[in-house]
Amino acid sequence: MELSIIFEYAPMLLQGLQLTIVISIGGIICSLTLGSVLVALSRSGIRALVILVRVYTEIILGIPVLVLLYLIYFVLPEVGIRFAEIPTGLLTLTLYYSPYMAEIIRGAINAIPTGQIEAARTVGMSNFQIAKRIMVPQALGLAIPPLTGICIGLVKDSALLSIISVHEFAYQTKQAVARTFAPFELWAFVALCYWAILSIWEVVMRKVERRVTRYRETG
Amino acid sequence: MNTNNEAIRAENIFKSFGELTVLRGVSLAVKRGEVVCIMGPSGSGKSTLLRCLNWLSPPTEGTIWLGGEVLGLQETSNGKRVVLPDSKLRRQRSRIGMVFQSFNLWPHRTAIGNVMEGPMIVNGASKIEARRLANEILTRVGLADKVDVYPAKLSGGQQQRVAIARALAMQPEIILFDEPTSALDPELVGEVLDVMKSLATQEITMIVVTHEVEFAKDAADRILFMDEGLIVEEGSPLEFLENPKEERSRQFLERYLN
Repeated sequence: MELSIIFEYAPMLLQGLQLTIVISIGGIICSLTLGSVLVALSRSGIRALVILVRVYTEIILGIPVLVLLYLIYFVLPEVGIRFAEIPTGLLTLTLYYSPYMAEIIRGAINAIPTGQIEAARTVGMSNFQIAKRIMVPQALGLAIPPLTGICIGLVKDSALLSIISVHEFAYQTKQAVARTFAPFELWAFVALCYWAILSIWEVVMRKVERRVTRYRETG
Repeated sequence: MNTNNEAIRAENIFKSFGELTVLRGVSLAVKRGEVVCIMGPSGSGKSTLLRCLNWLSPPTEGTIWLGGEVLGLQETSNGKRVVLPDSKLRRQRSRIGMVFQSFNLWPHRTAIGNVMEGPMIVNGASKIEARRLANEILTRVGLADKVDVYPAKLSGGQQQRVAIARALAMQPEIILFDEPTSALDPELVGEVLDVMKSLATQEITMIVVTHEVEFAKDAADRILFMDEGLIVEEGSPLEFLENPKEERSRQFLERYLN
């Protein structure tokens, strides 16, 4: 085993890691945004929009993320819609993960007892004030654990973008392995990096969750 | 119609949920400062009536006046009645307080946070102003030492007193109580009833749905008895509790007095 290979290729690998982080954060922000929009649409009460969200969700839930990536990268250009590699990756992650985000947000909102909302109405609060002051602060605490899980899935799936030559962490590693013929050292290093980053993320989010749900403590 | 000294008046209120008709033409008028208790078996429409009176559950038919002003509806120029715009309805709602059976406090806000919310968010009071007001009201309901405590750490009786304080903070023209002690452990009922009794003596207009006969006797100016979606009897506590006219009232009271 030669650890020197890792040091030698570190700049190249870290460049990939950087792109992985950027794409992941972008993907999380975009899919959370689209997920929130899906929830808003499905709660709008407008039948056509509700059905549209349902159909979209059903389609996405039935397609593997890899197939979605191929559809966007190889099939859409056939009908004249063409994206570069990184936008394709972002779009895939956003489209694929937004229904899952929506489901989590919807669940968190539904978990807030209607009595609390009625109490807010009797005080004279508007729907927007109720959402902002009563629902969001509580839904946040309820949604953080499942959102953390789904975000971890998104980060891991971003490695699939190496298939369409996005120069992210896994792609850069593949390149390094091709040059050095040292798969063990490099892939072990990459696995360790993914694991370390995601574990830290999980611990941090657990702390955040505890902080925003402190009001529930009875002791 | 002279409605000057009336806090609220309801005329011929019907309420249906699909096939089920819960209210079948209820009329009542409550004077300013009056305390009215509504009694009756479960399913008689008491809670539904309260929820109509603050438009949480708009009546299917009938009219409600809040201090002489039609609640929840407005007349267009050609005389048709349409739903009031949300902003105006919210203004009206803020004039009617409500205390729920299950407290319905906001668990992510402390006791004082729950009480400050309305004055701050709805009335636009400053934080300092709202805090001063909330402190004063929480002291009135005996919770001066619990202002910064979250609801999860309060007993049921304390939570309900915070809920009463939350309603009081809006300085409403009337407060509706929907079985405020029914969800409480027996030993906690007294502290909530004591607060309500003291409000009753302070010229606060109250409509109280309750099974607490003793409270009704001490605090009510008038008792309404409901059954099957109608007010079937009304009278002073003495008249109603000692000498009910209707057979249904008698049967009901026999159960609750023993």
